[in-house]
Amino acid sequence: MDQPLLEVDRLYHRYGEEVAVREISFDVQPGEFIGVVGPSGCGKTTTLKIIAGLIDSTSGDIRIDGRSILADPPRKRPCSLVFQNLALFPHMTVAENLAFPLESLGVAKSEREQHVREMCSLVDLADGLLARPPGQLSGGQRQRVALARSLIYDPRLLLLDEPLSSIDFQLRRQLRKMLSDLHRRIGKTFLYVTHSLEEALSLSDHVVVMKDGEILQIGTPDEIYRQPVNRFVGEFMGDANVISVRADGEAGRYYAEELGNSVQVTENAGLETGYLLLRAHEIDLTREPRWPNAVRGRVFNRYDLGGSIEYSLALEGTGFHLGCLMEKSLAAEFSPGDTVYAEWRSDSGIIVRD
Amino acid sequence: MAVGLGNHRPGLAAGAAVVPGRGRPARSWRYLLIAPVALILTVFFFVPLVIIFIYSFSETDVLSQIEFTLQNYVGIVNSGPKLSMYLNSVMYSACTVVICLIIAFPLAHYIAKYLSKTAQAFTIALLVAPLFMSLLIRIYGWRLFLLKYGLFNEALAWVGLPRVDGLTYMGPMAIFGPVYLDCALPIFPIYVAISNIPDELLHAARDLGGTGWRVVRRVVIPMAAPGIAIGSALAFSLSFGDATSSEVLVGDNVQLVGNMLKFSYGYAQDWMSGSAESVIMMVFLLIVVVPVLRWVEVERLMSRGGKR
Repeated sequence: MDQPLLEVDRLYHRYGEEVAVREISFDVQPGEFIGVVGPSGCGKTTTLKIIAGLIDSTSGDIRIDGRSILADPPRKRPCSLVFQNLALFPHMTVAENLAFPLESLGVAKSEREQHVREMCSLVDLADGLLARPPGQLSGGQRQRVALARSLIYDPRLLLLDEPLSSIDFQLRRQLRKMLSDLHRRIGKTFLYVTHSLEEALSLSDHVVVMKDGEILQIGTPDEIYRQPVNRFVGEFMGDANVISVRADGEAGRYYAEELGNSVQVTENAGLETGYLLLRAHEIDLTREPRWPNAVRGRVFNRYDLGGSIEYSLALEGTGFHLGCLMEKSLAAEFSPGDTVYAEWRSDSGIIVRD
Repeated sequence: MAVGLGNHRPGLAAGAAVVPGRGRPARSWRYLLIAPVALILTVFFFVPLVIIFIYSFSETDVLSQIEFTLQNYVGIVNSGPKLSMYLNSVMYSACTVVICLIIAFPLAHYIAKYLSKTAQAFTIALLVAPLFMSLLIRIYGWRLFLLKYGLFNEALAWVGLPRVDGLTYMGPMAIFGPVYLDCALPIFPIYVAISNIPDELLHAARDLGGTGWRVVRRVVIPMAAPGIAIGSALAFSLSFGDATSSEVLVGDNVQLVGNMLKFSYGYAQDWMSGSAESVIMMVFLLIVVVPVLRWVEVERLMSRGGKR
């Protein structure tokens, strides 16, 4: 492997008695898009701020191009942070905001203006907005200004602290694509912190999942989604049924009390007890089961999601609610009260540890 | 949080003492609540001001025999010494403001951004404490300290240095007094303004390559400008009207507006000239201070999140 751009080495941080980051280590290759994801309080933002130099770590090291940057003040570090609330200067115009980093570097005024225009076209920001204060811009426009301001002085590493969290859903998807396109176009290294695994998976080359100051798993989005290391990572996406199971004696068979049935699972890591993770879209609802894993229940409710329907199935005998997601075009539709079978293939569910 | 006088509520009977849903007293109660303050302000501030205003255009100081004249004002405009006293006051007050800001801004910045919440409260309390003490006592303290055989000179003599005579009668003391008395006041509005600057903005400025000084110059000062303006207005108007500290610390060596007023109202017993001199002073202060207060929306400064 090449020399990593960023190395986080046994980073540890404590706020008073409270440990925020527990000896975490990971590398980022040049040009990668890394998503750091975890629930609030998992230490992801602290990690980001330590890299930016806004918080001094208790111990551990941060290296960029193999050189420790911990002794450098924030302005000397080759990374730039896009803040959660964007931190645009309200008393300056958009143009002045964008020119601020250049001004700090001592770039001549005419050159600054040229850079500002280039950045605007890069992030697709109309020139007419340059003379306005940020307060008069829409949420999406402010987002672009913050991105442009951080990129304008050509940092090696762009740090993003949940920049999309305050944006409404529709616009968020659009900006997410913009961010991904931008990354592809300029080839810079992005470190993106978010609490949404969906967001991290859709954007990143590699995802770092954190919880309670520790890294649970590092992997490609596909690995994180298909082979979560434990129940927490598996559940984090929010689309999985989590069912407690124990080995049934037979190879690959597990007994699940909540299903009132035993199930066949290919992917089980030889665990004695654990949890069956069953993604909602992997379950098929049918009146006549064809696959070995099937349970019977009554449709409790249905939620129309536009292109698909989510069913909540109350299982016979146990009353456990199973979530199932069906494409509208592919399957017959059911109504609350219908008695149906939920079935899935043995390579669909996986067994994970707690 | 200000009393919403402009808050029209159609359908609510004007006299009804109903407390509407949002817990704001009904209109009639509102007026009753401000009545005591309004009464005190009227009797003790507004009426005397009106009397001074009338005197300034009068030939006699008998209120029943007022005869209109502009002579009191003409006398001031034609008097070189009086005009130079105004000029002196403007210059000395301007110097006072500059020195007060040089002291107050870094202090306010430090308190607001480098101290813990507890330490902030403690420091503010320390700054307020001397204000409870009489201005005369504080100024006389300095006088005793600086006298020929005062503590300062005794200390100089004790380490073998020559005594400095006449410290208390030097011209610059006319700045020292007001600076000492007033420099704490601008700290408060500047402190509030700086506290309201979100930390992220300062972090962002540092992250984007700003040195400490550049962050202060490009972000802290512009964003704290309303506080700085109010603080300056406070220090300026207080030092402009100062008479006590200059008399105690410099005697008659520097002639300021305060000395002039004291002379007219006291020695000369010429209340008409004194009134005209006061009116000129007040009008000048209004011209300086009102634009500042109009520019700064005080309410916005005092409320958090007034950044947008």
